[in-house]
Amino acid sequence: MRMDPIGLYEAVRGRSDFGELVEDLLDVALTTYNHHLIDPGEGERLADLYERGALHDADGFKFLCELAMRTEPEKFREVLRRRGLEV
Amino acid sequence: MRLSIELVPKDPFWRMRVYAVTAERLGYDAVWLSEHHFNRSSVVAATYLALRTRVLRIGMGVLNPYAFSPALMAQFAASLTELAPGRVALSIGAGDPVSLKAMGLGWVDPLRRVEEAVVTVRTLLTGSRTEGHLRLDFRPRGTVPIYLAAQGKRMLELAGKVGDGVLINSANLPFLEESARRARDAATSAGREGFAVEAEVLTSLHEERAKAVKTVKPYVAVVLLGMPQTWRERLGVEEGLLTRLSDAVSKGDWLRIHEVLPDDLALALSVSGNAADVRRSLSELPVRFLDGIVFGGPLGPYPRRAINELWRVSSELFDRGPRGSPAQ
Repeated sequence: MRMDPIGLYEAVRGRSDFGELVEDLLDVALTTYNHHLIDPGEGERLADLYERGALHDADGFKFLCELAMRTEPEKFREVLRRRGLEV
Repeated sequence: MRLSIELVPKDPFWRMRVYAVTAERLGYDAVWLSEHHFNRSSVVAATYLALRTRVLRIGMGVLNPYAFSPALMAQFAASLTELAPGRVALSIGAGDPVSLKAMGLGWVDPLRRVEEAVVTVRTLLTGSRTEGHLRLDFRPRGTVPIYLAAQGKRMLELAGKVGDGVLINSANLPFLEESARRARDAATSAGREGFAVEAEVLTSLHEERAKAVKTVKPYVAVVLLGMPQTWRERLGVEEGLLTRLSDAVSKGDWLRIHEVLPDDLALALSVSGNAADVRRSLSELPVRFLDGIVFGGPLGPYPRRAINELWRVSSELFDRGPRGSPAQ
């Protein structure tokens, strides 16, 4: 199923593996060698969202998807593919 | 048993924040920020994390007296206590001759320089003046324990003589036990009560053992090159291997390190593997000689997951409850 990040959020937020998906996407952002593509302000926002447990919210999830897609498009798609999802 | 992590400021600050916050929530005691001139400043990283955490102890260093004067070390530590009262620690060591040379700095008489640094920093942090009229015009908030980073026999003895604690950078069991005994004996002889012996162990945890070992190898290579010659001889490390590793490290050729460094040597000098492997390695540490373990190095290919998993394994093994519980 192909969708944009908001559509993706709506599709996955009720799934039992939603938490794992967020963790996997967070680790993409935390381990990418392309971290120069994330400016420090965006990094701070990501850390804020993580600290507040807000990566599971619509805005937080969308932002996380944006960063993962920007820095590691292939890994991002692979994380989704493993769950039968596409963007 | 204190459980801590070391973060290497090769990562952007926001990443270190995620790791430190994760560690703080789990119940770890401290985060140490390692210092390498080619990475982000450990002092700036410590400042940043002091503002982003609430109870985690912030360990600065290892700082060496060639790149940082003792007056600056005391100034850094005392300033940091205003942001994190009572939760700042400092580690002082001799530094790495190769890195110092690259910075245009000599490496002369390390034992004397480290001892002088410890004495000077302590003098300044306790509000006194040195004979050379150094002083701080403000007082630190809380005491700042001064650790020595030590591997060689004489540095371990110096740690026991003048330090509040020692960080022993080794995961190798015989070396670690010998080193811990030596530092502890020296502290007892010097009457230093409360002296803390902590093992700083290169760690890499991942469910796939091969990935964990691969991730730790560059860190092992650096430690191996800075290790006392007697230790390398006991490990049977050949000069040819050292030459190849030295060349690869100086060029930052990490792929070459993966090829050159044997897996068994990486495993002998680190706590690496899956959760069961790590649990087994930790259970073999000479815990009766240790007050703490600092999980250092890469932690794993996925550091945040490794921080979580290391806590699960080690808190259970060492009977550590959540922060503030009696088991702590």
